[in-house]
Amino acid sequence: MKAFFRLEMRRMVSSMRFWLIIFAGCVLTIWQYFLTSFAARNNIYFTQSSPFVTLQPNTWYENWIGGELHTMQGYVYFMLIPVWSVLSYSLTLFEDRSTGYTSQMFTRGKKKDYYTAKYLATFLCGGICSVFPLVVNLYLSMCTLPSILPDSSTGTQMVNGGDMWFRLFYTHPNLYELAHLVLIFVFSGLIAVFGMTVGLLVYNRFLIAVIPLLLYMFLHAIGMTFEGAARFSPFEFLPPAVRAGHTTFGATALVTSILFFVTTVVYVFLASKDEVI
Amino acid sequence: MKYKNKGFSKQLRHDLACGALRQWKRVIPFVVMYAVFCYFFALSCSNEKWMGNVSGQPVMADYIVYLLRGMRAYDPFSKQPFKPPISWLVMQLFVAFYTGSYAYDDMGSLGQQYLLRSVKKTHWFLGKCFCCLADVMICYLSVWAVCLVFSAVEGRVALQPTEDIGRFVSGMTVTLRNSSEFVFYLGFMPLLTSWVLSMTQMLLSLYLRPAPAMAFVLVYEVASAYVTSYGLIGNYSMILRNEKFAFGGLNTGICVGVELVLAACILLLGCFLQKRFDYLEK
Repeated sequence: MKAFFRLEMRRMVSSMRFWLIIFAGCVLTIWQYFLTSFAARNNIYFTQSSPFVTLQPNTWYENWIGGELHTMQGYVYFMLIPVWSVLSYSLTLFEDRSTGYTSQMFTRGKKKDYYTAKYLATFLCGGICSVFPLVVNLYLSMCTLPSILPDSSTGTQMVNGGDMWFRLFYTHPNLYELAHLVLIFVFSGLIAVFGMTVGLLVYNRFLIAVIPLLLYMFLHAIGMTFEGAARFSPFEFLPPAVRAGHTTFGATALVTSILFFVTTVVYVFLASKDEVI
Repeated sequence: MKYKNKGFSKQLRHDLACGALRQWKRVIPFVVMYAVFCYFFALSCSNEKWMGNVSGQPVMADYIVYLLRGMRAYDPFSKQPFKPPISWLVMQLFVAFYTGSYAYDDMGSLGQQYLLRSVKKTHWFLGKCFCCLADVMICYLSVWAVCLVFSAVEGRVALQPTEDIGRFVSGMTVTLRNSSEFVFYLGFMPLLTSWVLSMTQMLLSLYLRPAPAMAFVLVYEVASAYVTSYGLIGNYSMILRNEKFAFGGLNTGICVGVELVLAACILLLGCFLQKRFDYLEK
């Protein structure tokens, strides 16, 4: 299994698609940085130098891509999370099966090991492609703006009482952001695996790439339509800033668990039925 | 000459059959989604009626206005959360999904054989453009059909929107004088916009692959919702961005002109690029 996993990781790192997606994501997040955090840096001098103003300076918690909701770049980035995840590596299983690469692998090792390595590599790749550009944005924002503890009385924070982990945000904001990055990593990884599983069912590259996005957008559409349903939409609970309604840990855990169990069970079933030799 | 014309009509028939009609299954999830939207709208109208704000049940035109109205101009400096209207966004997703990968797939399979044997490259590309038009029409007709079913259940099929429903439920003042205006602003304009974008997606998919092309078009649509500008044609499909319905909105004449010019540019560019494209190498 280790040999297969090492091979898959090497394929992932040497793949042009992987780097292109990371590059596209970084372009979006760096663009957002220049529009918000970089533009807000002068406010620090203003709030500190003026004797008449007693405002809290802008912090990176409310200006990095996950902490604000008014830029197009942020919206697009979180809308395209399934695209970043799936296009990076999920299509490789379909390609391997089409080209006969899988049968070559099965002659050199166990089928179970190959599929397990593929699952892990796809999960990691999906997570990395979604989270790495966010980390770049986070790092740049942290370099530019101060890390003053968020204060709900400023009215500029996008996390309200009742939202998921809101106490953590107002007491240990770094942990809050880290927890969200982990959540995004896990969810994106699962979406990538979901896309790969779709590839075992359909024989069209386009559908494999698009079905996870459709599912994601449909959940978002239902969340935006019915009151209280927004908490079940990944588009709402993945970003640290809360766009509509309240997010809850229960709903987040439920959606993520369903995605994990359904994807894994179907993947294991289809992989065990796959006979290429 | 006669032979070539026959070749084009055959090519066109093939495109319409394979690229548009045979993909009817792709309509199903979106029809279900729009049924959910319509159900929510009917529910909202019932609530408003119970509160005494609305006099009757919605007609077909009210459903269509609600689904495709778009959003008012967004001001990024207001720091309000940016929320593009989801029913409008899903419509754009629908068209992009339906346009899909047909042209790209055809270029590597049957279309390649056609090109190598008889059909002109220009004809092949024109066929794909007509196919995009058929795709867009299927998408819009299916959404209109959902609205028709919902309004027919109430027995109120009409193309004249109700003013109080527009004001209290859809959040806009509907100032359409007759049904032909309705067909123009909510039928023709979104359809023309979607056709231009669909052709753009199809052209991009030949060079970038279908999924990135679809993502590109979606990003473009979101950018249109974010910035009100003649340069972002997604604005033209939103009646809330039209000067007839919103102060400072976009002029319809200019919008139609820009779209026709863009459509012509895409056709010319596509034909030019196709002529230079080496099918055997690719």
